[in-house]
Amino acid sequence: MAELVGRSANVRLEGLQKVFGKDTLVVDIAEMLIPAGEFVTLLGPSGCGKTTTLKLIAGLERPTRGAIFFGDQRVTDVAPGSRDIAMVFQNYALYPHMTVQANLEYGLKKHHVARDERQRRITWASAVLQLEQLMQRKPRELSGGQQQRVALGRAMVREPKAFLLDEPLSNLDARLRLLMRAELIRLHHTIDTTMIYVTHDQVEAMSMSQRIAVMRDGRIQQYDRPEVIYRYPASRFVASFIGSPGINLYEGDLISRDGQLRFVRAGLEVPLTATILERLGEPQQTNVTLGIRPEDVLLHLDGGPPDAVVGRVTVVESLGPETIVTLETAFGEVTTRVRGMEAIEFDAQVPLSFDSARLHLFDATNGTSVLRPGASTMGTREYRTLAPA
Amino acid sequence: MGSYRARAALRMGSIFTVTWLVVLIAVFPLFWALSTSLRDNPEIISRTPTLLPIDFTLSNYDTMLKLSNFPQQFSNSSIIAVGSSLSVVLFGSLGAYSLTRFRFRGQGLSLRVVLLTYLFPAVLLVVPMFIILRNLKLTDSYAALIIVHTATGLPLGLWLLRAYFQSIPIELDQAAMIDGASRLETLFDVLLPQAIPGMISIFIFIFVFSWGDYLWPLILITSRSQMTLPLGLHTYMNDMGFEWGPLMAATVVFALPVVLLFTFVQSRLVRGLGAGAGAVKF
Amino acid sequence: MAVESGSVALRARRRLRYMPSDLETREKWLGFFIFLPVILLFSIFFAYPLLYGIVLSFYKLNTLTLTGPFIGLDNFRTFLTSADVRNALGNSLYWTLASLTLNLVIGLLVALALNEKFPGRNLARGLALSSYLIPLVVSAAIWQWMFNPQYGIINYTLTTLWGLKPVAWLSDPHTAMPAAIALNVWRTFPFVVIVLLPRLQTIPEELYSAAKVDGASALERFVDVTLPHLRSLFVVLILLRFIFDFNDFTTLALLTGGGPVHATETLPLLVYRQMFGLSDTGAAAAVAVLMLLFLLILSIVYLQLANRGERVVGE
Repeated sequence: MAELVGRSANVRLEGLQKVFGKDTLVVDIAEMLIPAGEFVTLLGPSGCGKTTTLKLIAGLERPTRGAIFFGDQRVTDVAPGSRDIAMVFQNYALYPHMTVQANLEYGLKKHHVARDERQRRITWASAVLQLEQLMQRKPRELSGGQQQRVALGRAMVREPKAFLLDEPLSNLDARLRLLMRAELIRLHHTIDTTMIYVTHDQVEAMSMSQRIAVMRDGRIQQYDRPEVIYRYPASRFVASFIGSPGINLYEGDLISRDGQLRFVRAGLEVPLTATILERLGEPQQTNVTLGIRPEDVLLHLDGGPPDAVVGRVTVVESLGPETIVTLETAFGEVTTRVRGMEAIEFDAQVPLSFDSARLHLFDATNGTSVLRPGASTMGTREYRTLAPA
Repeated sequence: MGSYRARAALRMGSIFTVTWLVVLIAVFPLFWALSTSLRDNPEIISRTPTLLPIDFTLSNYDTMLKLSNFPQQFSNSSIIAVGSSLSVVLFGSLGAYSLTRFRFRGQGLSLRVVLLTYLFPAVLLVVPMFIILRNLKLTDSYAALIIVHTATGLPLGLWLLRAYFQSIPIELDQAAMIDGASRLETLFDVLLPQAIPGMISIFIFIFVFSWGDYLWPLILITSRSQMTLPLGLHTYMNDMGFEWGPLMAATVVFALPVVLLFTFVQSRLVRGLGAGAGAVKF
Repeated sequence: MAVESGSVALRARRRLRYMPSDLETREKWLGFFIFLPVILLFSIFFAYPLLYGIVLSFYKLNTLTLTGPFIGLDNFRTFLTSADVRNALGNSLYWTLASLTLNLVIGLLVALALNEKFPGRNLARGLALSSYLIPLVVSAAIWQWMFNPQYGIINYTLTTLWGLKPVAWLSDPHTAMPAAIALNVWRTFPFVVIVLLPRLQTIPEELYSAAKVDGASALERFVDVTLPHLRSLFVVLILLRFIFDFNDFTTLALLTGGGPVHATETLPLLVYRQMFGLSDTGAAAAVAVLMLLFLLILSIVYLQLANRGERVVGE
């Protein structure tokens, strides 16, 4: 297992562009580096170009412009079979007429791996993925989860420089998806190879990745660690894509009053604290969008400060560990989350306030954040190979 | 309630009757040929024939085997039918692969033009083909018939196999490519094994067509040794002193391979054509 | 262990496949190359003969020597007044349209019957459709035997069971064509069934149930639920069967040879007679060209009408 360390390559994209048809630019990435051994996710809505980018890295599509490097080697013109990569497809793409054993062997045979070595790798992968009982079955005799593991196994035995995964969990039911997410994290931990993962599910991205690239319309809006993306989103789009329930957004203006800069909107006035002002610098324009995440909206159920804004409860969703409450206020709708199962009545008038350190401010016209990123709230999530017991 | 059940029974009854009536009509001629072939001449020309022969005899089969080169023709027909079927499967697969997994100019056009050839009256092609093959010194040979039968069957083969290939997800090709397979390896290792039902259907269609074709042997074959069964049979019918008994025996033996093939793969036939017909869009 | 991985990596590197700068071109080339045999076969077998055949129609050629003068459109001019051509055209239309109509009706009925579940259905299916696969030569020979005026089983049944007079089926100009059409329909109705049956089987049972609940009679259910599903198939079937029957040479050639007295001589048989009987290859080619033109125009017009019909109905 430890032998795989060092075989991994970092993947670098330079000026990568892909045009479909006459003039539809589906991928436009100026520069992206995926460090060796890391789990990186390309995240975004359908049509944002994430799958195309993955296919470009795989060699299944040729870029219109730009270059792709594996380590120091320029692979833009290299055939997919020679790039030393492995891919897991959304619908698994197992060879239907071959047994599990043959499916696992095929890639190795095509790469002229010696029979002993082939056997060793297959034995190892089937042990890790618990496929030993299934070796002689055909794909149609397997459940969805089993097929998925075979697809993973097919990729693993190749001992590639990088794993490419195209929404591998979306065909599984919710329960299986959770299990497989944990499996994948453990797998990455074990084999320590570069993994490039594509999904539209932000929960998957947040839970599994060491780095996330949020994409929209072919471009990367933000490429950073999950905690940074969550805490300091670079744009309104990123802020609303990540996090569920979604971030609360309100358009307004930055106005200076009584010597203090405030965010002002009909029915709402939020003074900006020092922490925020530090990050603000010189705003280019005053028309901004304020963002506040539901968990940063505080409900004062036992009464609050006299000048607090009051909202009327319209929706209460009791989920068990927490309750999602939506309120109607003078400045718009607010969604917040409260720990536990609070008994909150419909139409109740509840005061609420915002955690003033957790505001997000975006330029109202182009959506970019007008706040510089602050200090990280958590340590970096580094994977360390655990010493064997 | 009673009337409902009565109506349902009546309905089922009439369907049953109609169906077996149709079966009877469809099957009778061959049965009659078999029956005729098993009786000797006095019974055949009797004014009061019976459904089954009174005196069974195999003499007609004996006569047929000795006369008119029947075994030779049987073998000729077999070789040509198998040869044409295999050719159509091979070239059809390659062509279908090329049409579905590649992109080059004129693909759509090629397909439509290829299908257009079925508009052609075969008689239009007969003279030019005859001249071409004569110049190539290919007339009166297996090669000639295999070529024309393959060419006739290829549009159908392309059509059907194309439909099959289109239903195979492209991700399989991609997985194979990433596994290091070349384009042709992808075709043989991954695609063809899954198109086997389609290939078998096509093989059978072309076999049946080639086995029974009369026009091309009529035009292209002149020597008795190269004759195929359809031509041989009809020639025999125009011979002097031909008898119905041996003729019926010959037809039974001639029809046998096809009947066997058919019973062997009956359900596959309906499925195969169904896939193609369902996909037809003008 | 580490050494082995390294050597595997080394081997992989040596076998690196580089693609030329433009992947699309290379793939295009390979795809085209694979398609080449098809194109070749097609050109030799269809394109060239078609053009050649058209050229031939402008000559008066002797079939045996294949020489003769260029006569331009004379062949075609003769046809406008030729009794042979008019007869053949009439016979072709009679043959084609009668076969087509009977095939559609019978084929539909049989498909409906075979769509139902009853004991022995699979066997019935196989047997009912078997007439299509029997070699035509065999069927023609057997039917000729059955139609035999003195010894044939058909006349025997007519005379003994129903006391009718024996009919000279294939030698009477009035009965020859109907007899031939009977053979043709017997042989080709399975084609219609094989096309319609799979589609019939995909019509959801719920539609019929809903119609029954709405109070529709059996006939109404047929017209409102079954037929719409079959419409597109019928369009295709009519076109295909028309073309196949119009172009069919073998059935009549084997059964009647075009006789008696050209009563069953359709256009394809006329082509054959021109070529080998009258030794006029040019005229034969001309008739064939006319056939092709006829079919081409018919198909185009037909498809336009069929598609427009669909749009108007709003399907």
